[in-house]
Amino acid sequence: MGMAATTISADRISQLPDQIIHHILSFLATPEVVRLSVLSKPWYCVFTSFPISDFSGPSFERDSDDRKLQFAAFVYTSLLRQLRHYRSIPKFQLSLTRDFYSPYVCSPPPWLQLRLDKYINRSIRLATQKGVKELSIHIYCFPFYRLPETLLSAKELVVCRLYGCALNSTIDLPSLRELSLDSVEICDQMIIDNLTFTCPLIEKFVLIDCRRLDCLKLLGFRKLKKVKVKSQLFNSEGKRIEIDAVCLQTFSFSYSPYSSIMDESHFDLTSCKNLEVFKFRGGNITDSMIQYLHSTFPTLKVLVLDGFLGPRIEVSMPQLEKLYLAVRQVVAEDVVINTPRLQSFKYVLENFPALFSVNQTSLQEVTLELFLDDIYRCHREHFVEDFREYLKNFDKIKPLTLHVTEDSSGMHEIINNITNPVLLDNSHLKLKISLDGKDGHSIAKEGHALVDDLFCICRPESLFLESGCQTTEAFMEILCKKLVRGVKHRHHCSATDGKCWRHDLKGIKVERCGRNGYTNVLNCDALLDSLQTLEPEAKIRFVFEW
Amino acid sequence: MASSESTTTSTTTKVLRLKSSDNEIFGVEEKAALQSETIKSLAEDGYSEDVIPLFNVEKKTLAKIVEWLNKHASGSSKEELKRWDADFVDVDKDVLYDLLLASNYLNIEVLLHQLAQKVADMIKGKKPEEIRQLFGIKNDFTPEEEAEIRRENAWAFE
Repeated sequence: MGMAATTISADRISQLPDQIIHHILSFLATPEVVRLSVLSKPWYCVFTSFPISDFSGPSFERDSDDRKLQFAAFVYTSLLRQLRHYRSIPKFQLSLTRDFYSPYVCSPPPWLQLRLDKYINRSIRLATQKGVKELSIHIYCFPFYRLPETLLSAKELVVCRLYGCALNSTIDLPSLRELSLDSVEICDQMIIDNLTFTCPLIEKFVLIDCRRLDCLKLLGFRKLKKVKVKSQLFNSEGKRIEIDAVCLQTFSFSYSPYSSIMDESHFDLTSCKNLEVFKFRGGNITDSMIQYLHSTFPTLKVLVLDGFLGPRIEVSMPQLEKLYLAVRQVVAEDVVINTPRLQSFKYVLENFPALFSVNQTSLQEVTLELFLDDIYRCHREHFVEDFREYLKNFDKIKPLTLHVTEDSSGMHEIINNITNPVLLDNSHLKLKISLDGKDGHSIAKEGHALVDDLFCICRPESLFLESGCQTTEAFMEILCKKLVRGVKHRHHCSATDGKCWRHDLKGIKVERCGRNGYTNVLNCDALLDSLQTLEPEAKIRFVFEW
Repeated sequence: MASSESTTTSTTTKVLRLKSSDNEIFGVEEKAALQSETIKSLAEDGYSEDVIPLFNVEKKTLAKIVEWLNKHASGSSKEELKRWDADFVDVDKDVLYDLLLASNYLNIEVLLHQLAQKVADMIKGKKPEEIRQLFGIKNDFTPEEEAEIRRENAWAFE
């Protein structure tokens, strides 16, 4: 029967128009597309006419010179083939893993280097000569790969993303809208300083961990909307970020752990009066910085402050709609948030502030991320009262999302001290779990205790977990089994105190969201069956009916 | 659902009548039907008062397409649509091909995208032999020819 069915089923897929098959292929990684070329002659034909744009090299072993050459040749011949069919190359992404060049102690043998470079240079040149609009090159090796000069003057290039590589001549790209430089060796400060003349249409600029820069000055850009600076180390003491762009909407700065502290005195964004989004991660966040933001950007809508805050924070921006606040290490004593238009508030806590107040007028969603162990250590037996008191600040908001990071043992200690549990209902929970058992048996024990503890302090509307690490999967399995049993036996449960959650549980649904964006609705049994084959980063949401 | 001639006419919403290749007529609200670029241009060409003939779509496929059009014009939440779509494309291969061809012909970008993604998901992670078996593809290469192609791009086959 099974055999008959497979042999009878007609091959209709091969008869689909090329255009549809190409659409299907566009969802597959390039090596997978290449493998389809051996299916049959018609598939080989479809493959040869498919415009490949993503050339992400696989990883190479030490003795795989032949494979490297094959791959480099494949990139070049694919582009030539594409030109025969379509006459232009609109998009070109080349990504070579470190081991493409670097398993050799110094550099690859000269003959190989020469041939690899020949293919790679030719490919990049070909793409840039044939009107490439979107280009992404990811080559990290030492010494740095030098980009061919034709690339840096491609008239039609709109998006340019570089990773690794060395930039040693002016970037002259008059159509460029997006420039992203990540771990690039920028040989001359002038390359960046001159961008305003050479790439006047830039809308988005990203600078991450680039070497040899003294400062960042983006002056006189008419169209610049978005700037992101991350882990950027500046050479000089006079490190400074100066932006003069009247349309700038978003500025995002994340701190390099290796550089010395930067604060508002190192920024000059004074002319960016229309800024709507300001993100600052790492470093000190002081009251004077908040004052600076308040007075400089009257239309600020989104504010992200993640760093060492304190001791007193007052945010009172009239237009603010979204606030993300993360307090690290230093204890914030007073937190006052008086923003009448605030709709969304996310707060990462390592402690409850002594004084906390938030204007709830427009507030619609609140997410609290708790490092439970740390908070518990500070509050001990007062934890539950303090937490209850703290939650009163959000008494008008339901639902509340709690994002808990913790050790299961800490949780158990908390529960033991509670007499009148259930702290929260109608909440959405997101858990990051570390079960610290040493073997399968103790992990299982930890997991069981954690499920009971969890439902003791809250009756959540949903619980969100992400697969990926072993203990999460172990926990999912335990949770599923307990839930199935809990629903089945709730009428037989003899416990009378409020600590037993089984009494209240009426039903469970499981939603699984894969990486491709699909959501499946399952029951616990089906999830249990599929746990073995769960893809990494699968998102699982348990929806409870109490 | 497949009702011949019984299109409910209401004063507020206009209903377009779509005819399948095997002469079944489906009444679909204009707002839903115009998600198809092909229907849109046919309607603009003056077909909107009478029946719009869709020569390339059989009634069983058109019924599914109409179901999709209606759902996507119903104002369901994003979350709900996502779940509904996942169920919608969870059909056997023959239905999938019919839907692919129909959505391509009717030029319904979003649906075509979902269906193509579904087929791609079926291919993902499988060896060539498994893919041939799954879709009934006959290998018409000689062993030497196949070996040659594999050798040429050996980097992708390990």
